[in-house]
Amino acid sequence: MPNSSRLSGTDRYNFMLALTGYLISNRQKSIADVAKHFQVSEKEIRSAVVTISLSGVGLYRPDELFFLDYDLLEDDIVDLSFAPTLESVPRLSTRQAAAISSGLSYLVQLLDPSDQNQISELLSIFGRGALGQQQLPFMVQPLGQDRDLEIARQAVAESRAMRCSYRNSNGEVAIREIEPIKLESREDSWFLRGFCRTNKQERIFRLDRMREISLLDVMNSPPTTQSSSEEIYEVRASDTEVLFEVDPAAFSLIADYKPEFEIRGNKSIQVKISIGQIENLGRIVARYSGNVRVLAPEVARRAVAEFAAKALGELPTSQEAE
Amino acid sequence: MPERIDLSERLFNLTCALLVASNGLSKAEIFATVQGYKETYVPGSDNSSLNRMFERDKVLLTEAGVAWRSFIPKEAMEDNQEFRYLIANEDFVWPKGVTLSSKQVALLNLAGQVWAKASLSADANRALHRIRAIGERADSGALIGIAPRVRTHDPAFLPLSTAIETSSRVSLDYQKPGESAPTVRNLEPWSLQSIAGQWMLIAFDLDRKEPRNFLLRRIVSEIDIQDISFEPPQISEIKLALEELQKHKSSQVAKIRVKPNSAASFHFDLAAERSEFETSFMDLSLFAEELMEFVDEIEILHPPELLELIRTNLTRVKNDHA
Repeated sequence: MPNSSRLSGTDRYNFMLALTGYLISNRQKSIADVAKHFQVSEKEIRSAVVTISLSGVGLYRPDELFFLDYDLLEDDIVDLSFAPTLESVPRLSTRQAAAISSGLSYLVQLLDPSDQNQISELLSIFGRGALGQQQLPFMVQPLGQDRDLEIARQAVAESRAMRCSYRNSNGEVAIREIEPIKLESREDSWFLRGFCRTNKQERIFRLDRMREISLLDVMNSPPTTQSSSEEIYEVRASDTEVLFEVDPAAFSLIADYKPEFEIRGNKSIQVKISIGQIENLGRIVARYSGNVRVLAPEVARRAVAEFAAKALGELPTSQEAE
Repeated sequence: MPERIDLSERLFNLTCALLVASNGLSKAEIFATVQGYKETYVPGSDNSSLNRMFERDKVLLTEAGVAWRSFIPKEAMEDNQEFRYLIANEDFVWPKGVTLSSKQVALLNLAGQVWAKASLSADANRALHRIRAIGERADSGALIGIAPRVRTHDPAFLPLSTAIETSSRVSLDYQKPGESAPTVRNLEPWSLQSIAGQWMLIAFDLDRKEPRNFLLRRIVSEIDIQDISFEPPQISEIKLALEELQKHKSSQVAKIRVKPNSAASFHFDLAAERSEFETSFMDLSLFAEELMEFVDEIEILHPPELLELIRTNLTRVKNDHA
């Protein structure tokens, strides 16, 4: 899908460098093809090639650095020729290489063995200086292999239904048959979007609530998502709006529930988040160990206090445990 | 009458000019000839705003992975010590011989998408533009249906990455769990590593005179990047620090009893009939947080300080919501 947002500033600069390198070895391409290849709009391509062709004006004679065939451009064909010095694609910056390498390393856990070999090969190109950068500033350490994730990945890749024992957020355990649509993750948590044959509905399942997963039949017509949202947590009309005070150490709570919320600075902030089941709020807040406080409504505060009191009551003191 | 030159066009023109000038260009020559500069250049005046613009542009070029060089020509050593600037072709271009298959391009696309809306998505997208520029099309057949996401919502992430890239000392306030106030740390930042979903800084602590690990979420100040550079570490030193961390993790073992069919028993992927298990953990506080969500359905058998910490956390949650 072409990206509709306009490039500007250093993004557009970077794009023009890349495009220049591409066009020299790909002469007389249609604008539509180039746009599709780079996943940007045709307008973006047209504007970039005109800018490129005009650069160097004054430095040399106008046409000496780049020559754009404007007659062909009328027919939506790009034909750009160059001075010999700019004959290649620019190498990646250190941070660009680190972003790509970290992404690759994160992918290792969910690819099949043949793809994992490809990843190692790519990491040796992008991660260890073959592109001539300095040492990478950051890296993701691969997560451990996870059998459930492995089966879910296989189900998605092979368009196969799957069966598992699933514990829902109310604590009910039941056998489910799921037609997988998409495997999604947030750091070390994995989610499967799929059509539940048992409930005849599209649902999002947490992999850490599944057990005894097995693969079923190959689906003739795999389901497609009915949801337009990319988000794991969707707001429903019945949700309660809860006002939280969040310390920086717990900012990931906001990222989980409200990814569009832009966090600035490193002071505690107040944010409203819609919560489906108030009964589960205690668990959510407890997870952040005091770095998240519920300010309102009162019913939500009470739910958290009750959860903590109940859990404290059930915990023995450390002496007893010893 | 030339149109107004925007940032992307000025940077592109500057890059072209520095690439084609085999003897380099002096600042005055750049100001006089490069579009984006020459429009406001007044020969003989101090051109202070152009000078500031050039300083900023040099940083932007470096950040984009476009390595420029500056030198003083030998013949000018004696009298007029004026720097000349150029971009060497071998520093700029994608290395010869590094080619990518269509499957690899597909994997790289997916690796770039891992950063979704995170702060690194811009760098990942720029990298993808350059990778696409090599021309190979993506064969994404096998990778449909996977949408992995990593985030960097820690405000310290990008400043620390910059400090590592430029080998600059930093100081920051670090809040260790259980300590009443944060302490100032003076560090030589080595590497950012994501381990099991947590971003961690490996750095040489100048006061403690040894490498230490810092969780980004415990950094409670802005990052003060100082104008003091240091010798970047060897890769082996970073590897050693990571191995130490792994050893430390293996040495810390917790023993936990869970209620059958509870969320905890699913989360830790225990077979339905199992109720006790052992697991190693990297950081007591982090592990306590992971357990907090299931606190009403588990029993901590070992170590006692884990139980103590969970009690403290729960008490805090309870009091916060009383």
